Amino acid sequence: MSAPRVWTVAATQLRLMSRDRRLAWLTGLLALVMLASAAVGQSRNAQLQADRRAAAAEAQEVWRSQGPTNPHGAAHFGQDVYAPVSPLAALDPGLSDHLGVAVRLEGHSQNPARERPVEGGAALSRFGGFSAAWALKVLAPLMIILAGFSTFAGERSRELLSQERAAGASSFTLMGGQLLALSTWAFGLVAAFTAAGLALVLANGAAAADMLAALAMGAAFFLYLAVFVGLTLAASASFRTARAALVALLCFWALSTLAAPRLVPALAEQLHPTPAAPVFEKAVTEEAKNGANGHDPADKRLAAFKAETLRHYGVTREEDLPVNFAGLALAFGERNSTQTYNRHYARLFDAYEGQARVQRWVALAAPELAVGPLSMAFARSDLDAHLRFLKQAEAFRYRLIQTLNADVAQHKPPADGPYLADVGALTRHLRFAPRPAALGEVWTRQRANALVLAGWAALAFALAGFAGLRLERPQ
Amino acid sequence: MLTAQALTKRFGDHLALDGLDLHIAPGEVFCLLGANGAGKSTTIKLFLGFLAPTAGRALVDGVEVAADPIRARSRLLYIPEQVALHEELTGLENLVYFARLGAVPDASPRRLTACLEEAGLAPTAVHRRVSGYSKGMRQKVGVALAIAKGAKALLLDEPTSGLDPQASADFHDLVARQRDAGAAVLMATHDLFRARQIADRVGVMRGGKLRLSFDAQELSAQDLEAVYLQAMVAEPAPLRS
Amino acid sequence: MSRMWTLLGLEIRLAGRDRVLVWLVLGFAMMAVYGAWTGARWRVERAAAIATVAAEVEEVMAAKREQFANAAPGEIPFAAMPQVTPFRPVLEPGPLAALSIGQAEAYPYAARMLPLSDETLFDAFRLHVDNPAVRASGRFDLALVIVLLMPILLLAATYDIWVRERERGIAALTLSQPIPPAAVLATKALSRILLVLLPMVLISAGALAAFAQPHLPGLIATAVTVFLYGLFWIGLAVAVNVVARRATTAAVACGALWLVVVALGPALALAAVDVARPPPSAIARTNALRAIYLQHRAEVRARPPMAERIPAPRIPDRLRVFMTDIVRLEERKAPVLAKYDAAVAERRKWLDAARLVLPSVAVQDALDRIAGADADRAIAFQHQTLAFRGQTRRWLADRFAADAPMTEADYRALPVFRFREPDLQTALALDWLVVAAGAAGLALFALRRVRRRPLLET
Repeated sequence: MSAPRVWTVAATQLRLMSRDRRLAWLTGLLALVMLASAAVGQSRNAQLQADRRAAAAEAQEVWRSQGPTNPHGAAHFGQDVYAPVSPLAALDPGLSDHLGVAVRLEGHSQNPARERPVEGGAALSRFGGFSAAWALKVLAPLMIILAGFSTFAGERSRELLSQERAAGASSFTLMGGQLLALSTWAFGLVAAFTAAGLALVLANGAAAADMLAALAMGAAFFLYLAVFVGLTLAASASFRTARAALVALLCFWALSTLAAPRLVPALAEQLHPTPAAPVFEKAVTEEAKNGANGHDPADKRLAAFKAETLRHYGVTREEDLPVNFAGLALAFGERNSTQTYNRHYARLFDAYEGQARVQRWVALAAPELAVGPLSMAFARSDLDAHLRFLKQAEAFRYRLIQTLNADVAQHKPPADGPYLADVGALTRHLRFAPRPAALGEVWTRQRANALVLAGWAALAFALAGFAGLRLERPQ
Repeated sequence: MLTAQALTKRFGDHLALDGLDLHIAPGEVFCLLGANGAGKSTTIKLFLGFLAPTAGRALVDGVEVAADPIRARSRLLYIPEQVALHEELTGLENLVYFARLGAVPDASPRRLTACLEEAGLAPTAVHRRVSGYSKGMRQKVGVALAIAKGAKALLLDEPTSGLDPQASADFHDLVARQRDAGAAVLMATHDLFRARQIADRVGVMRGGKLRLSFDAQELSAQDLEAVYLQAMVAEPAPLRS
Repeated sequence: MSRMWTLLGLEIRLAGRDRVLVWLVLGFAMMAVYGAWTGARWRVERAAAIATVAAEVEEVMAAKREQFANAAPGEIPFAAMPQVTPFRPVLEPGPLAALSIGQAEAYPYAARMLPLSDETLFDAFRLHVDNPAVRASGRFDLALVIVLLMPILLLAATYDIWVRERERGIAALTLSQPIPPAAVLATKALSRILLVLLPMVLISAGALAAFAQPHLPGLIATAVTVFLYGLFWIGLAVAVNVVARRATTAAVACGALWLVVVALGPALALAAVDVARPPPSAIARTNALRAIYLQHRAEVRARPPMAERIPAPRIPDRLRVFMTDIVRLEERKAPVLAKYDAAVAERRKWLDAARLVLPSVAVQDALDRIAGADADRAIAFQHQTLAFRGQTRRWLADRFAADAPMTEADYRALPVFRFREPDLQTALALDWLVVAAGAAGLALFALRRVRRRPLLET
């Protein structure tokens, strides 16, 4: 392969692409809707962020304004916390619409997140929304296919190829130039996407980690599009007629970008089933009541705890305790129920992980399944980011409730009614501030997907190179 | 310059070219006549290295094509019946492109414009997109490439079929000029009349074999037609081998 | 006319020999069966979840019976207090739920209700613990197969319905016969309707019948929907074929139109609604309601203790006061709730409008409605539940007024929630009208184009 000739082919091809008015229009249109959707996403996210910030302040105000109240009553009243909004979610909203945004933190139970944006929809809601990431995942590959399927296939292209070869360029060189040209086009599109990502990060406080995340998303999408560049040119060089190349490529596109992302989660759910919410709730309640083995009733456990406490303080009657046993019992119960919940949630999250594993395996056959999770992970709009938020909310809830229970334990109720306290003052030092995962952590979780993408891209380019060599081989 | 030694090509059971021996010297035009499927295009594709010979050798300027097709092609120019060009590029841009692919030392637009004009393309057409070109204009871009490349050999595969008489005559003038500049020309054609006019030698092929070859000037046009038709139906009595 | 029959016969013979068509129909059958099976499995799970919820009443009643049994003679146990009577209104999945999961996961499907429950009575059933990633990808139900995949298969069978002959040069020969070009096109379309679309209609209805509960009108409605939608796509292929010159162009155009109708169009419509009518803030609503509640609680706590009547009524007066308080609290909450509900309804109206321009959305809507998985049915359930709550409150007020604590027998004669199915016909007819108008529009376009320009001139 000669480098100057590769440049010549690539430069000429790019010039041809820029003169193909349909392609130029489509590219412009694609870039425009991509950027417009990022802008709309940003304004929507800004709105959501303001909304959640206001709600967080309001929730704090509601919590503080309970007045003198029994701390355990306050634990039942609960406090709401809200999921953070990631700036890059404007590019790739990922699962955002399907994740609850608020968690009610209350005593005795670990609630799932509430208020999923997808609630209250109509038939239209069954169709996915538009986003810049969707444009790169679904539309850009289609455009690569349309721009490249007839490069080598079809009668006219074959004649042109003969002449180019007669002029002195090998098919391998021509393939190299075509790969370079289409990759440059893809790079331009990805660059626009990444630039939009960087602009979003800049507009949202310019965190270095988010900038790197935007670059990582761009790199992943470039690899993904490179897969289609390679496969398109390989098919174009391998099929004699342009029509056959087009049909084969469209089949792969439809399977990879439309069918697999719908079929595989269904398959994954079948392999790793998850319970319905009422069933999950019932199982937890049952276990909290009867113990993990079903033969350890809660009242028996409480009786043992009481005996243990009395022994600890060297007294025989509850009234003689220097502390309020009700508070200790609440703390004990909270510890038990939290352990029960943690066990059940761990099992549930294991099932999610199993489903993700299935998806990663199938990504070996459909690269969309690798780039989709990777992109939303870096946009922090994926399940991992959500679970991280839930776990932090739970850790905070446990501290909050046990702080209240500890206060109950320290105060014996007055004779004329329940013990009342200012819970706002009591919990003033507790502030919920969820932190996103470090970029390194995201990378560790997504390494496999990145490897799959790189492998796909290498394979696609190798196939294209091989197809180029085969064209050169005299018959 | 163009040499075939016992050049043979077989596609499965079908013998497309059967032991062709041929030598075309610099400054010589050799016209291959024959019906469709006689083996003319196969011969040209073997010289281009698009096909691999089943037996024998094709040499261009002493370079064995099968061994180093890219080097062989750097000395060649190929003009098919339909010169396929990038429709959305201008004539000049196409020429620049192909000249660079052929590693032409001076592929500057100025020189290549001169080559196009030398090939007879009107100066107004040089910067027009090829999609508006006639077939004759496209052939001229091909010839301009030969001029730019300083090709030592021209392989022409029915280059004038479908051209109007004037364009056809113009094209042959251009070929003659290349010949005069020292190029060896192998031209496959159905056009007996033109072949006799331009060729130094004429060969008639049938069933993959070169049935006969002779000096073009030795026969009148009518005689040529008679010989050709005879060669098409039966083993001819050798006029001169 | 006889020439038309000849043409149709030839087309059917040719199409019958096309192996690809057989594979397309087979592929559709496999996916349809899988989709219906997925839907049926979902229905079983939903029914099980509903059964779990309904069983909760029995658990509570068992505890109450125990209290009655353990009560001393003359003692009124807490179980006899009517305000804690449990109700579990549920929305059973429709008989054809296997057809589409639709919006059934986006709305609560049951309520944990006491007569004095507040607006959170549905909250437990708005929570989900299954993988959101699975849900975001969209369930693979029969509706998905029909709305998204059937068009691809139909287009694969028809994208070159006319250009193919044109490319091969047969078209000129056909058109040189004394037959109107429109008739040629119509015959070709008819052959595809008979050989591809009709089997797909029968397969859809068959797969549904096999996996769903028997419901003939629903099956017929499904068949009509699928048939009209199929006509739309065949019409689209014909319209492309009178414009395109080459099969490759036709394939690209059909693919692009498919993308626009089933993916890009809906996605952009959704984005437009999100901009024009974003969902109102549910979290702000919750906070506002909680603030109102705190204010109400403070007022109640500040009241001097109530003096009990002598002789004491069987149902304590504090419960009567409690009920009055609850009603007053709800009156305070009403403006916040009304504003929020109005914004949600307005947004839904916009979402719903998309089906007037996008046949894919109209068909999804129709299938959701036939399956009983549409938003309107879910909202009707909420409204009827709230109405039922009103009914139980009147029942409770009567008991309070009569000072009649519950007996075990009373628990067997409680008000019962019965869901009344909302009107289906009007909305379904509108969906059909949209799809049929789309198909007719495309056919008309093709016809006019053929009349204006000879078929081989483009």
